[in-house]
Amino acid sequence: MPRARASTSLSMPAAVLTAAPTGAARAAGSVSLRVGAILVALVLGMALIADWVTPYRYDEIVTSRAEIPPTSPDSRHWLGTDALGRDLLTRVVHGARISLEVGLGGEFIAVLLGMIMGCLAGWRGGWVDAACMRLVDVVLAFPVPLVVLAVVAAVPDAGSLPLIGRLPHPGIALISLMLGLVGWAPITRLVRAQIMAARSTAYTEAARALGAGDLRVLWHHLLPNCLSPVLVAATLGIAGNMLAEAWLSFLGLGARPPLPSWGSMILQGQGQLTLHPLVCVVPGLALALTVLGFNLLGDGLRDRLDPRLAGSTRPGPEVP
Amino acid sequence: MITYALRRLLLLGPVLLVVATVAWLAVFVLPGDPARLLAGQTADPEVIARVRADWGLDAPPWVQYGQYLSRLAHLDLGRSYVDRRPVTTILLEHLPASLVLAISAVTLALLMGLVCGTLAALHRGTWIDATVLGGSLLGLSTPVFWLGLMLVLALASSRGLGWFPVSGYGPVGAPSFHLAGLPIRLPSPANLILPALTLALVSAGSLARMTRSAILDVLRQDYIRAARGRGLSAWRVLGRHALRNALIPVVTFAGLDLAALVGGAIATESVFAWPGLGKIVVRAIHARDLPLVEGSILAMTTGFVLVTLLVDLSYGWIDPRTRTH
Repeated sequence: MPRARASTSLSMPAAVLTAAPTGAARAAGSVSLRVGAILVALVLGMALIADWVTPYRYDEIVTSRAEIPPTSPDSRHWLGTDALGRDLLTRVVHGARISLEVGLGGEFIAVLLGMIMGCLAGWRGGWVDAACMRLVDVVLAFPVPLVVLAVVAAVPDAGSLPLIGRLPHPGIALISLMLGLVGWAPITRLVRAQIMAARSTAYTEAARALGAGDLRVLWHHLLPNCLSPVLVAATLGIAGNMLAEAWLSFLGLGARPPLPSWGSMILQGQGQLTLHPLVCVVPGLALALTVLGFNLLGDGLRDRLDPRLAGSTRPGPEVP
Repeated sequence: MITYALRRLLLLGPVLLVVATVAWLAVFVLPGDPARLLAGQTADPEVIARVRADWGLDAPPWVQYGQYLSRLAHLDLGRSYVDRRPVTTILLEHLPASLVLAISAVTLALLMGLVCGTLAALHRGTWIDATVLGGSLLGLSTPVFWLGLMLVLALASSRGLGWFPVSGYGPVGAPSFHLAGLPIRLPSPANLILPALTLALVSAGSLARMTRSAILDVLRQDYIRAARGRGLSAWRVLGRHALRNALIPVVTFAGLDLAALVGGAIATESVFAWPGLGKIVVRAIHARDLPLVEGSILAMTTGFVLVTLLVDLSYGWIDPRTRTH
């Protein structure tokens, strides 16, 4: 794709229209990839070792009878305790698990559905394509937060549901499932466009001429083309899912106590915002940094993997 | 354009039907018995039976569903279980507060987003650009309710600067007027600033990014070079040629971002005890006030789909080229 810098040799004041130094933008892209990867790695690590970070359980009341929680930070409890006397650091660290569960779980469902539907639509074409795309239209027309609220109102006790009820955190699983069921539509569009573009290429025709069947062509020749844009969309989708879970939990409709969801911790801390701001500040900071990490990673990956996409907004690095 | 608008209007039907059905299903999936909920936990079985008959809760599910849909067709959303008033009345009472918040926030977000995005595009590659891009990414990553609480901590609480009220809608004696028989009370400006700013900051980030890349794309076009070649001033080129064309994707995006705005508004109303529809729907879910849950979610969905439609149709107004298609 031609670099669109050619027309930028006009002189406007304040450096208007001067091409940005490509090197600087490239550096910014790789910085965001690195910072994002570090933040995401930190959160994953935190979730993995959550049980060993502190000597307390997330639902254990650790204050003595003489203390009135929430207590301020001290040598035993580095961030203090929450309103019920539970160690705040323990809860924040465990919160990473809940957030990742919803982020990754919901996005896994969305990507799976989106790939299947996108392949169907892009490969089959015709009425299958038309039907899939109308379905995508309908799903995208829904205001996601309101649908999620309607489902939560309809199912106040996810533990009573079949299958989902048997999982360790039924409420969290239900939220993941819901986010997956509303999140597949954009992925479908992406995959469909890629499949359609790759369907008529010479290498696809060569593969067919060599006698490869539909599934083989799809799996070996077309799907690999979709992976980069889907990876970028999925990374950003994980961030969106995490925000959605925290939002629901903040409204008191997501994770049930005593589960340490960052959203419900913020809700609990709201009452003591002025006296004990840490109870509210720390979980929010953890959530914001996690979401920022996934957003940076997604942005950086886009610049790295898809220079065409990056070129429309900023010059990305040339990929060999 | 007209067929497109009609297609979008046709989509409104299935969307509303699905939302109505999901909202209605609540009645049957809920473990609690609505009649017991209505009559009170200690009521006699006869009283519960009478309440059940009174509210039409003894009919088979499909009959109730049919009745529900036919009531909806007549814009009758039923009566609230909790305060026994028509849901439509309750919604109309709280609608103005939500509208005031939404309109102020969108105006503020557009202002901040367009100005910052344009500045970043014009100063591409400088510290201004980096600040705007970084700030917008922070805005995109910060949960709106937490941002609201942090603003309260910094600007409203006694620990912070204490400039604004922590929450609420303002004094009861505030100026009010009647519109179509509906009493409308305006919030006091001091109470409006923080919620509007909270809600605006989240959308402003994505708007700024969108404006920036749209302007950068437009500035590369040949007609910009031609306009400059004809001797038009830089500002005229920017205002008449660049901004106007750049606005199209920005407006599309503002339309897509409505869902985030709805979610953000519900959370913001919760943080600031703002007496709008978002506060109502959350309270109703907690109180299991099912008709109010159904009604408020339906009303908000209708509003959402209609505004999306309006945004779509506005392309024609902004970009005359799309009118013929």
